[in-house]
Amino acid sequence: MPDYHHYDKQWSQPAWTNFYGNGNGKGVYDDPKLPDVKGNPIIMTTYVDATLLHDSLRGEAVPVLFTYSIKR
Amino acid sequence: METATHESEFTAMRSAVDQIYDLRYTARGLGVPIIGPTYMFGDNLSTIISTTKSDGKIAMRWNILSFHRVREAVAYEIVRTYYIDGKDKPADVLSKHTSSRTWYELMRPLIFWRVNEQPVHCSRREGSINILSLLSDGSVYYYMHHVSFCKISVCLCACISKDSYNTLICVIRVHVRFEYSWTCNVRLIRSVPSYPLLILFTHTSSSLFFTQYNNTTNIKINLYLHPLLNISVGNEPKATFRTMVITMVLTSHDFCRHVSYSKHTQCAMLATDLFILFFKNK
Repeated sequence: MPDYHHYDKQWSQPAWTNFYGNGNGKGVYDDPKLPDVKGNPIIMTTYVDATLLHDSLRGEAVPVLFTYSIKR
Repeated sequence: METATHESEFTAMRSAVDQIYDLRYTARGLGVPIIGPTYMFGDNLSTIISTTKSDGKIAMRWNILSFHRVREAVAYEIVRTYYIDGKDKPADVLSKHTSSRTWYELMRPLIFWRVNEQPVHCSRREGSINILSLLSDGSVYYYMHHVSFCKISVCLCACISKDSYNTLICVIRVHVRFEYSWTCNVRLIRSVPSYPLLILFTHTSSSLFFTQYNNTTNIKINLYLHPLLNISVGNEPKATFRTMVITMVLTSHDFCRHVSYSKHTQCAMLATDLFILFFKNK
């Protein structure tokens, strides 16, 4: 299980509710049609990178996304 | 076409946010509880600052939609963005030419992790992996056999550089293989009965490319599912699914040009239903 406590400590949630609203990560996740939560919880981590002008033919950049989840 | 690093990084982050929304909702739809936001790490400090500072601005107005898409996810506490040194970022193995030693050090905590922390039993010395030999099915199967004890529950490789695809693909291939065609039919080709599992997530990118499957009429989704994650799905508490997963979408340039992201998501959900039916019947 990754230990992100030190990241949580340095994180300060921006006060953007006046601009983006107050989603609080809910919304679609409150759909009553969704099944009950069961099993072990997971933590998701994503690494993002981009390579500019990777495609030598078309000159496009390449997004690189690496996402994984680890159960507790 | 992006002409600046900042722009391409923001585009990549927007793609990541879209992917995170989809993954979280898919997992939630399967009843998997998710702790907190998704931690997103990038090595471009300016983009990270732009997504975390309230007064962040963007000069390139053509990139402003990606800008707000990411910041909205941060405001909703779905994503938290952090800076990480490029040397410590596993995503680099997908975009840069890296030696096997560098790749192994980055991926070992993720893929070669052991529950009891015993030494990795490997026929090859660390850092001396011959990539060509790894691409053969026999070697891949050997590695997969051991990878099945790792603790990764969900792993998505969304983009494989055509120049450096070899490193990760060779680890992820095999065990359950699916093939789906232009008509979005998913067909189980082969499975290992001792590995019940499910979940499929797909994502497209313009540069997904894999020479061995460079076929414009079919793409193949190779899955590896490992048995550590136990999930009860739906209304059947006894239907425990020992799951999951590494999924990959190996496709070609031509396919990505003609198939939308929603189409891919639709295919993923279709495949997920197929999984559920398959394992309910077992």
